[in-house]
Amino acid sequence: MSIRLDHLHSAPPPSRGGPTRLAALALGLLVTATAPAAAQTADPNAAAAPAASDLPPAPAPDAVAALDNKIADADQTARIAVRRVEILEEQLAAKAKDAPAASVQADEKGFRLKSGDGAYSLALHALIQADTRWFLDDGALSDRADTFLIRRLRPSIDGTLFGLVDYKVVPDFAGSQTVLFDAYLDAHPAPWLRLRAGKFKTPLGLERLQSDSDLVFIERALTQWLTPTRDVGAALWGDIAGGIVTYNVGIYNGAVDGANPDVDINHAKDFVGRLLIQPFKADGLGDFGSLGLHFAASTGNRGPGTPTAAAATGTPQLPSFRSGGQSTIFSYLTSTTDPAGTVFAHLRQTRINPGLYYYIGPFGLLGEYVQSRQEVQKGNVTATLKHQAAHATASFVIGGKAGYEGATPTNRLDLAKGTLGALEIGVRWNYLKIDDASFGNTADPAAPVFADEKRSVRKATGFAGALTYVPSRTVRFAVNFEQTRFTAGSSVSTTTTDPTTMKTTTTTTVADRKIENALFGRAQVNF
Amino acid sequence: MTLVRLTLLTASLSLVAVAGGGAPAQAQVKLLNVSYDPTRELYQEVNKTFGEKWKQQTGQTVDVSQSHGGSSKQARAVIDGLEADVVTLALAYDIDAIVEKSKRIAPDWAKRLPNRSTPFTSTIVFVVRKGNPRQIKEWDDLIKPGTIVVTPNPKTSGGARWAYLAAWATAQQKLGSADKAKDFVAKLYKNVPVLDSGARGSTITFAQRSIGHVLLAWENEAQLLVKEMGKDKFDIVYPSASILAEPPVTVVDRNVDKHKTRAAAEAYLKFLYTDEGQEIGARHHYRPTNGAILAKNGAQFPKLKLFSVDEVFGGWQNATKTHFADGALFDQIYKPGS
Repeated sequence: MSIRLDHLHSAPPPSRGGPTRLAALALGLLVTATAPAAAQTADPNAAAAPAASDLPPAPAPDAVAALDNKIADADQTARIAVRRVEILEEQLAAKAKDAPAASVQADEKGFRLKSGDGAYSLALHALIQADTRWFLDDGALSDRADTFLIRRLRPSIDGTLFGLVDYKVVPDFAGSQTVLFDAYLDAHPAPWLRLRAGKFKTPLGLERLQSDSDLVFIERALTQWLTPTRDVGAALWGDIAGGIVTYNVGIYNGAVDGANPDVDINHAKDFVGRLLIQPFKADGLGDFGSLGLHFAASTGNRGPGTPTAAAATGTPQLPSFRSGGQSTIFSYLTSTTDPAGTVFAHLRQTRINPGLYYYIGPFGLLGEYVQSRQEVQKGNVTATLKHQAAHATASFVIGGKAGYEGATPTNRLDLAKGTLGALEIGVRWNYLKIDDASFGNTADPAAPVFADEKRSVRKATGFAGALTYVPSRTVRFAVNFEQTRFTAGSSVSTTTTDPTTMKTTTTTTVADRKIENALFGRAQVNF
Repeated sequence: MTLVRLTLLTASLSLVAVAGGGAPAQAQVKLLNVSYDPTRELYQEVNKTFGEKWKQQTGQTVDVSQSHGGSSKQARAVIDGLEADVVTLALAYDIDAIVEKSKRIAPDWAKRLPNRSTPFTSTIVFVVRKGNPRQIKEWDDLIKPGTIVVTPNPKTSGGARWAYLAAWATAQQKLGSADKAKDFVAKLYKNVPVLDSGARGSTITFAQRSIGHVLLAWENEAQLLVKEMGKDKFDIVYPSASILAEPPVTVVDRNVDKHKTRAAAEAYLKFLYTDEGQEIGARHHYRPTNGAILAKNGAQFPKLKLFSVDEVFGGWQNATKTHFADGALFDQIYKPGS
């Protein structure tokens, strides 16, 4: 066992550098000044050793001791001076080392420029999803075309200004269109108080709030059709108690379910709120995984607000809904010739959206329910329709861990190290239920009809499986299969011939839309 | 449906491949012990011995890295994100600072291990040059004109805070008032020409750079210095009274949970309380809290009156606020270069 006293300071003893020389000079001068007698006794003309009687008297022992003390004091003064300079140098070096420098980084998270203090930054990202969809046993339905497509092509920039305001801009160029998805500022004076303004996701839809790049499935569940894709507005939000509670309250222009509008078309606004509780963020509960209890709701007015056919012209402000395979399965009645034949949004739309997620190690579960109550009008008739959707998605990651932010490999693909990344397996059940009142009432022919059940489904229920290879956070290859069964949404025609008159009669009756068996593939790059 | 079958086959093969190659067994656990300045040698031996025991018990190889520096500086590093699994610092106050500013440690940390999570104690003694030419025997001797005292900066060093409080406590007890103690400590620091950032730096300043007449040092650091540099160069002087230094230890909860190292980290600290751990401490001149092992090694730990921080200063929070916070008494007393 030995103590190494030199490991903290590689500096040599005080014999280096300017300060040392100065100190030595000071010491020399001091010694000279304190020993005048000795200097004066030196006789340059003395060629031979003088006789003992000629030698000056030896200094007294007290004088020698005094001189020794003075030399020792001078030596200490010099050493202290040197050490002080060294400490100053060490402090300056430490400050220089600690002083943050501007940085340029390129890694899995994108390309970033950052000022030394982190107050300013600019990052470039991109999400590219090259998909394919194949409909098996589709009976040549015209809206189920097997295809390859660029599903998302989203370069984006984000960053921070003044250390206070984050910003983000995300356009999408997929489908040869330019659509703005996100453009917002987010001021964050404190973790519990943030203000976001611009165009961004409203806090509705637990799965909707997940990044497009992190989903277990290639396409979101049917619940997505009852919440807006994006909206324009402002929201206060923040984390309380270290993120155990996250709140969000905002005011928005108001967006139709599934829509991504840039402009407002009425004076009314939507009010949206959300509460997310993550109890296992409390100290000491980390081993229990990540549990999120989510509740969101919105309310706002649509349409012109006057239930007259004359006023109810222009944009219907009502959604259409699609299947997992992105085929349109529900739409309200429209007429290009008769305003009274078109269904419009009328006044209030209210949504509620409870949900939860739980992730622990490789296992993940996310489920939610959405109810959208929409007042509609057709001609002078109004009604309130309640559509509902829900889904439950479970996932298991082999070679990594599951999370709300997507599967993360324990070790990324590195053939040299023999690591292969992760494989995520997912299963999902989901449904969309259209309010029966949308389709009139067979027992009451006078009941208003807002959708044609020969073209629009009453219900869709899907089961899906997913397999995603995640070699790293930046790259994913996924294969999904989803079977969706429908209630109504199609029709069959029966032709009968009267044997007496030989007159033929064709009767069209409601039938279930053909089962959709969709196979999806995706190659994704996200950084 | 051929395509579906092909997909499932591909998926099955991928699953088997990933399961086989992506999840290495956890045969090794890594810990980071962030400690104060003079504990290097102590934890080198602790790490080795604990590692062998842990391997025997669990089959797991434990690799403990050490980080050393001024105690407050180390606490700041942990607050700023240094991912320590355990901290073994000079002051309870520094651990409290981590609790308060980063919440990485549970507030009840001091109750989790015996003796307020302090496995060893120590004190502050004097190291003088051989023969004690200045005849420095008591705290009073440190304020004599011309005496050059070497001690680190209480702003950054835990040992320096103990030394400062030792001077204050003995002066207050002898002189009878806080005002007189303040004058005493002011005179003492007038005799301190340089302030290193940590205890080890001051030891080097005194021993290798030959600066000063007396070094205020941790007892263990003083013993180690004399042992290493030779008994012909330095003497250790035990004043009649000093401070009871209680350097505490704890796991850093958030970090061990994140690293999945809690079991090994807790066992590592508990090992310090075992007879073997206490003997290692004694070998490195830390006073064991186990009475039997302290008595067994009594020859190297002379008895002297020891004041506790709680007793004289009302605890570390109060002592820090009164003496070491920005603008507090130390800043009023110490004028660099004066």
